[in-house]
Amino acid sequence: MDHQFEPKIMAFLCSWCSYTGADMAGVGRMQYPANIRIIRVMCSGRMDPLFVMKAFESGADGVLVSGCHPGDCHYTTGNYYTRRRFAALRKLIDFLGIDNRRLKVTWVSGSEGARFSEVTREMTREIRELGPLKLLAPVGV
Amino acid sequence: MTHTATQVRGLVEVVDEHHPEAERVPVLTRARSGTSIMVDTEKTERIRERVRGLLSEGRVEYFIGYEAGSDPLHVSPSFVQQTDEVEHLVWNLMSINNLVTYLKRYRKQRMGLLVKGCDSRSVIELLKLHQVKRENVYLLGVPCTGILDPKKVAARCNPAAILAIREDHDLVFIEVGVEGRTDEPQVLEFEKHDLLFDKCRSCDYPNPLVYDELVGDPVPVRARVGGKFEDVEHLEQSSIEERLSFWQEQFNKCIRCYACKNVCPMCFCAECLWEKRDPQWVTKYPNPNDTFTFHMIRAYHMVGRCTGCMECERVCPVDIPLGTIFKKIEKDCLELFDYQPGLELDVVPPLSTFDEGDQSQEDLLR
Repeated sequence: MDHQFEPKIMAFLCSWCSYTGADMAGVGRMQYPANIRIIRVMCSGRMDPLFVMKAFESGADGVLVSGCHPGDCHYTTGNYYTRRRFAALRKLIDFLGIDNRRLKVTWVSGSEGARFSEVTREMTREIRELGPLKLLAPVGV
Repeated sequence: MTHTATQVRGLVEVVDEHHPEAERVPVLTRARSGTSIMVDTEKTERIRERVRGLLSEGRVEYFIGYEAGSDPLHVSPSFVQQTDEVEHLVWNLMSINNLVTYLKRYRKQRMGLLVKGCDSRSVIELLKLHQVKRENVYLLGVPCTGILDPKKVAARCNPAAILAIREDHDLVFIEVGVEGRTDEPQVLEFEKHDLLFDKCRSCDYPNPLVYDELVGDPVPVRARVGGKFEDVEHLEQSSIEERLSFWQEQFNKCIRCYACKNVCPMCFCAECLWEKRDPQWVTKYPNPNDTFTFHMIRAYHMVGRCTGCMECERVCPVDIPLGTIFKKIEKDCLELFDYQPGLELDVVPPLSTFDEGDQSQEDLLR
């Protein structure tokens, strides 16, 4: 039997654009991988890097954060902060040994169902190649 | 005899006849705990005099400085409330503690504080983040020529046998012998930069950047020894698997004593994420995964905030190289936002602001 590694990917989507975009993908019957587990947040600016780490710690192999395109934020400026924060976080996780391809930030608008489908398929493919995240240190406890 | 030692009520005075040009300084003083330590007399006297003045004028409710620690290579923070306690205050080559960390606990009171160049940067960050009011703190700045690392000193001579430590420009003389014995003490000579803390070896700000008055004249910036980010760059060049196993190995030592976060002057949340029970983000016991999260997120919280005082690394009981993570943060912050924390009061911290047209960050997201 062929055991292909199926990654678990947590997707934190902003309520106003990306979550609607994912919904649009469904309505438009555009397929996206079942590896994606979606959590809706009110704004990508709500994303605390702690959520990302908890996702990794709890067994996620990848984390996708998606919000409105810069300039289109429902709360005007939320995603600009996200952009700065995650630019810094991605450098940091890479330094501590988590491949930063496992954490992606992207912008998907409410009408871009096709784009959501494409982004998630691409990310799933990439993480499938990377293999499972072996964060847990090989010690007891 | 090269040394004359007079002991007057616990105060030992050692005069080196080999160096008559060196100031005649009582290099040993008896601490409350009964140990002897070396002091820089000139600065110590200036500090004591000023603190006495500040307390009697009522400018400060109390003053935090240094006093002799439990052994000659350490000092302890000293909390002075009455003028007769002023005699405990000292300044010497071992005064490493960043006293600014106490500001977060006593920020409601009018207090005086002894700050070195590096410590003053923490004050600037706290002022910027509205954690403390400028009028509530009186800063006594000390231009600093570098602090000796007790670990490095102890690696080169027996700490129990140290009688005196003197500095002369770039040299440090350590006299070793047995106190009370008349045979000649041995004088060991070291290059100062070999004994300095790593952060002092690449110090850019030896003079306080914010202060109410200075003790002593400003000192020049010492020539840097080696690159500041050498360890960071070394790790950056290794493979991702090597980095992960390196940090896992380091973090596995962690006993989650939280000394690093408690000593950090910038860790000031009233309700601490790591101590919260509802929701409980990390376990109470040092589960390796949660320890990884703890160090990662604590480091992330310091982006654009950590001034590199390296107190976390110094107090770590299991020697995790936390300084490397915080140097990485400093390096990233410079590269991404061209920002160095703790230098100017009126520059907004990089994560508290944004730049709409910033395309360079856009590329770093995926």
